[in-house]
Amino acid sequence: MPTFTINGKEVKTEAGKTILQAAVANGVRIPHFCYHPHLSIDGCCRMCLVEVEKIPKLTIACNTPVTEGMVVRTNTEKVLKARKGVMEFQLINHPLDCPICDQAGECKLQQYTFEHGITHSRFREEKRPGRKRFKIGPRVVFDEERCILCRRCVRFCREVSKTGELAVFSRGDKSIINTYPGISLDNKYSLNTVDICPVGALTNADFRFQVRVWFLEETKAVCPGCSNNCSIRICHRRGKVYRLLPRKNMDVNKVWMCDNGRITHKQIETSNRLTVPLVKKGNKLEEVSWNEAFDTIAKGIQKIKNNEIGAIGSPHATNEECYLFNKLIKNVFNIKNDIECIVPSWEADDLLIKKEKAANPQGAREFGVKTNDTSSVKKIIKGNLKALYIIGNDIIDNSNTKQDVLQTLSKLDFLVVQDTHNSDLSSIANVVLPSATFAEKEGTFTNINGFVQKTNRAVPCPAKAKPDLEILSGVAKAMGRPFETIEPDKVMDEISKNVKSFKNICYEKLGETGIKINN
Amino acid sequence: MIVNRNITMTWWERIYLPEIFRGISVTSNHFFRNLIGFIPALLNKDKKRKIFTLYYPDEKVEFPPAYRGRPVLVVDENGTERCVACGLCEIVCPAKCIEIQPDETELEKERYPKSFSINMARCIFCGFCEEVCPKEAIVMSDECEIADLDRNKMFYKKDQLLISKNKLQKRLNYIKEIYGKWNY
Repeated sequence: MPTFTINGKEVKTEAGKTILQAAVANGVRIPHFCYHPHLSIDGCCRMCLVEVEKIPKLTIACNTPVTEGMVVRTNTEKVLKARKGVMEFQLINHPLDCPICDQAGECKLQQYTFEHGITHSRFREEKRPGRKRFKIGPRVVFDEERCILCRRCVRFCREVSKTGELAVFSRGDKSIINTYPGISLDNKYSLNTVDICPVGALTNADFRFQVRVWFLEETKAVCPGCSNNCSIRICHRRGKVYRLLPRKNMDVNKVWMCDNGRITHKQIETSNRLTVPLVKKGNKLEEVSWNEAFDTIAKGIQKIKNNEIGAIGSPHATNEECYLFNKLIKNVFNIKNDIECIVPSWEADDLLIKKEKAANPQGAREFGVKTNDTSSVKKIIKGNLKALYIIGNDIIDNSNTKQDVLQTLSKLDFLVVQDTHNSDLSSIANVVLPSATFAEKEGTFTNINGFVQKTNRAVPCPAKAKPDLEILSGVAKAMGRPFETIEPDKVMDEISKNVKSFKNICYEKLGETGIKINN
Repeated sequence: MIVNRNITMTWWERIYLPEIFRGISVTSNHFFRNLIGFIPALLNKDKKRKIFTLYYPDEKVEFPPAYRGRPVLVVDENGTERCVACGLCEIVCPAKCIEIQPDETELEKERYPKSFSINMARCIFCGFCEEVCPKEAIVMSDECEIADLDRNKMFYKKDQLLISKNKLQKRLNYIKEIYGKWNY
């Protein structure tokens, strides 16, 4: 472990670390553009210049390894002057686009310009012209003029997504980022290049011009896109979710997130959201109060024999919801049958995307729910069932079996659907209970490797919809056997007492990145 | 609390009476001018009254360019607003009365306000929006007659805020002078 001095402070650092990494670890901030902790080192922006004793010239911090007895200074006059010079060069071809640029507010160039007090340009010639708002990929918009050629995006496509669409073309003043001829920036992780772009050269086509970033509030949550459960931040303003950004979690997603995960927030504000409880009267579904809906369920369930009632859980539900649903079915309804659930799947890859396309199938399995893929739907609903309680609509996810399933279900005496969106399933139900999407509820998710993470409520439920925990407790109450608690943290305490694998889990211990369950 | 303003009076001021009489003469000058100033206009219709009050609303005050009336959006020669919906006025507004919904446009400026509303019932006429605007797109006009009996009508929408550049030229020149690039 080499010991070195940084700004007069003697610190120890791991062998092989560069000055920049050691500085960050010791709370010293060195401005940089091209360096990214999860990409290889390029050293092309020259912003992180520092003064090292016995080295005649200033040297870049990002690519100089720390050696024993090194004396580094990051804030001398010489360093500041050099940095200001680098900034001046960066700004030569950078347009004064801040009022229209989406990156404004989270732009490194803007931040450093402000910090270094650069108020005017000495450059008297024409700025380099370039393509504005060029669609470099289906989800990414590229602005050639704003690019400062840090090559983070190039390195990302080569090293992380391993697709390598991008490269720097031409030389010198004319060098420019572009895709190779004939292809576009179209990989499953392309929007990460937008995140790591230090300026506004790459912007998210979907989020562009929607809202200013300084108005957005951030809520720490978990991506519901697949069973990898990437840590995310939900950016929202006035009850509307605008974008999802990845959050650092070295155990789960490092700092990346897939493009499919980023559009999961679109399910929140759609026209087909279920917003009020509905009960079938005659042949039509009619709006009722929550109490009436709960009473209808209680009456309907009590009429039917225990062994003729089935339950299908949701792989999208949180651990707490899975547990309470189990409790509702086993203890309140007294049903001995297993709770089944259908998990939709898609193509997995070896970076982040996992095969099961639901947030919490692993959590459901921990609570004894049987998970099946979409092809086995028919097997589950066959038999002598007369009543069914379904959470979610994954049961009709498979288009091959959809019509058969709907036909079988419509023959049931009593069908309860607890779902977020209006679908063919909810239209044949006897009682429809509107529930909350991932951004509207609090709870924990267990990912495929057993990491339990907490997700928080970012926006309120639309109209009369309620989080699933409240709905389940409402049903239990109407059945005359109310739950002790429905607060997510109290429910988790109950889970850790009753479920063996969750023994070490409680909300205080989870923190921001979550912990692993015992297997 | 006694505030020491560091004022030292001259000998002339300290003897008190001359300054008192000077004050009285200013006041009585105004009084007598208002008392008889209308007579010339009464005898000859072409002459202007010399009194200090105005017959509002028949007569309107001509405001100096420094006057801060209701904020308006400048419309450029090409007929579109200068505003690019950057959101700086929205964040700087101390009364939080501005609301902007940006959107993309085919024009060269890329970005424009799809909707822009100012709640004039809340506006405090501080002029921060004008000062912060990087495009000189929102300026304080000389309009001050905005009172209404209905609060809902006090929400000024984009079409009510747009005013052509020619009408605002005086204020635009003035803000260039006071908020100009190197004046801070």
